[in-house]
Amino acid sequence: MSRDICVHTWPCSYYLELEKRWIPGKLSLTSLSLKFMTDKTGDTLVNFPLSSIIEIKKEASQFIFSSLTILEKDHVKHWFSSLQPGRNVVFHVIEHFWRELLLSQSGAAMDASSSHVTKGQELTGLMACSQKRLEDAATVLHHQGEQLDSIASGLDRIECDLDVADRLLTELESPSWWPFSSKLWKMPSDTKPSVGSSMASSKALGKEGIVIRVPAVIFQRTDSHVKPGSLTVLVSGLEIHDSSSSLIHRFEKQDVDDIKIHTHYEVSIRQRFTGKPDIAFRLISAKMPEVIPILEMQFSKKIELLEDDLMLRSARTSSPEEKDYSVWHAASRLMDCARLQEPSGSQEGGPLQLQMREPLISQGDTQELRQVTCIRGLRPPCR
Amino acid sequence: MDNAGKEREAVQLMAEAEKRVKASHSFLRGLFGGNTRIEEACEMYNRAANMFKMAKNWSAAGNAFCQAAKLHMQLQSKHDSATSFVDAGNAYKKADPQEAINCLNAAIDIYTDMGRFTIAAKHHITIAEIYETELVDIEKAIAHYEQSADYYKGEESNSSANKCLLKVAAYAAQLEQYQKAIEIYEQVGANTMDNPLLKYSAKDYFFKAALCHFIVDELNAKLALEKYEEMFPAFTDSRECKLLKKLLEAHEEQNSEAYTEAVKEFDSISRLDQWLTTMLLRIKKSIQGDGEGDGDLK
Repeated sequence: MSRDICVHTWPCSYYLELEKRWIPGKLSLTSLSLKFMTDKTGDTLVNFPLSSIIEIKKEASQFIFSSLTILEKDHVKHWFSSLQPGRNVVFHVIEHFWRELLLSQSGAAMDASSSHVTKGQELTGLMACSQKRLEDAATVLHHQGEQLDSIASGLDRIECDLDVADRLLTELESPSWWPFSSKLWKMPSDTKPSVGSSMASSKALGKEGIVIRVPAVIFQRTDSHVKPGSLTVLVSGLEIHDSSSSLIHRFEKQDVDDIKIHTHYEVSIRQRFTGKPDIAFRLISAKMPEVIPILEMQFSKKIELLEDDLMLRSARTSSPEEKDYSVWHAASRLMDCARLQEPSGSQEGGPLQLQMREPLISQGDTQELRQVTCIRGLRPPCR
Repeated sequence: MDNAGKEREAVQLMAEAEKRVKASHSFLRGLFGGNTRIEEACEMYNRAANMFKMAKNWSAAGNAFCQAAKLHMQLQSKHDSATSFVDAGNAYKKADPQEAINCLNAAIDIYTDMGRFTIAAKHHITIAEIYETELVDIEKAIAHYEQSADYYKGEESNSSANKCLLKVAAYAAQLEQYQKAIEIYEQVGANTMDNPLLKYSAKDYFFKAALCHFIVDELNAKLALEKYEEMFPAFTDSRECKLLKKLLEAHEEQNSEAYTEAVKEFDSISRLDQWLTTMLLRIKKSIQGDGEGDGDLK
């Protein structure tokens, strides 16, 4: 019973949740419990053992008045405020007694162990403390790294959207009657190959810079127009042919606004227009897995992987050497085509308009590709 | 003095804005530039809200932001609407927590609709914090933390997700839902132990998981400890593991002296935080369960 002696009492006020008001009174602490008695009536409003405390916190009520909150076992929160002589004093005393419940020993062993701390213990304490801080620092560092990564991917997306916006704007800015507007520049290049290229593409693979051609099932706009046909990836763009190998549509490289990869075998390609319906194709092909890495090389920013593709990614990363190989393959193919393209462009008398305007693959691109292939080439093919 | 003036001005602005909104509803106005009227009203609500803020009239500021958000919604500018709702939430937070939560929830709905899950997750955390500190409804706080962890995981930001999950685990343990806490700690521990930066804190998570096991059942704790040591060999050398072993031994002998001694030694090197103190106290109580200590503690 001697342990139940009152340790200390502090005048303070207690917040009544139901009546929403503060009641003045006294907070008293015994070595095992905490009590609050009102001044006027002497009622005991709060009485709980220290062992049921979950958390003691210093908080501010109304953002001004410093107060002390104690969270009890059943998540009842007690607010004490206007503590005399000061909040910090009360906080430390209560916390001390609470911890002492765990640490105190009833026997005589107490004074022997606690009275002196050896230098070694002190040093270990220091070490443990700094270790803890370093652990926290590492966690925060990792967190920030992750944030930076997400910022980078966000920027990438912004840049890509800006590209599209830029193209649409130039299209809008040029009045429709102006014969030299970009729109009209594109029109002939859109229509011209439709006549010529069905022959040209069948004639020579190298000249047009065909990277890969695969048979595919084509959905145009809505799902009702289903046709068999083929998809051709060129250095300069994409072509979609129907079964009799006449051209349905040709996308120039810079006209493609986005490519969505739905699954391994299904992609959709879209060119956006303002004021007109978009040109969109959805393609399904058994050989799509071969095409996707090439598309990724050519349209890296415009490619959007849809949800199912997480699977695709994981499937691919599970066989890294295979992936390396396919990328290397795609890159080297692209390069070969580009090399073939350069001499042929200068030899031919009337090259396509597009080729006039810009080289199909810029010097920078080839350089980059060469680097990629070099790196891939240096590695042993299977690790 | 100055504040009162600001407040009056703000009230005037609010009234003016309301008039504009009403005007935009009339038929003729609707034909000619009804939208610009609404836009003007939005602007006015925002200005009024800022003045209320200066006057520290938080609930009025929140209300003004809310109105602005609703008008933005009418104008189909989702992004502005969400931002205004967040502003409203921040203003309400200081006066009316429940209303703040409603506003933030509205903002979250918009953000999830737009597919901006990272921001939605962030606001879920804000809501959870309000529940945690202002309203002390821990169950709801847990639910929001969990939701936010899910969103973060979906966006591949695992460290943020882990942060939320750890909060959930800490509260779950306090609410005596040990199984949930154990699962989370084990999962987070397993995730972090292979990361070069994070492996140093993995032992902490395993320690906490083992403690939760300990409260439920001593034998389970022993098995779990063995499992953790196998999974993560570095755990064996840590002080936490040694402490656990000592505690288990003491518990087996029902020796509360030895138990206290071990805890004390640990505490003398690095101070126990409140969560650990609570958990260790619960274990200690189970030792004294049949002794005289029980009567004393009640």
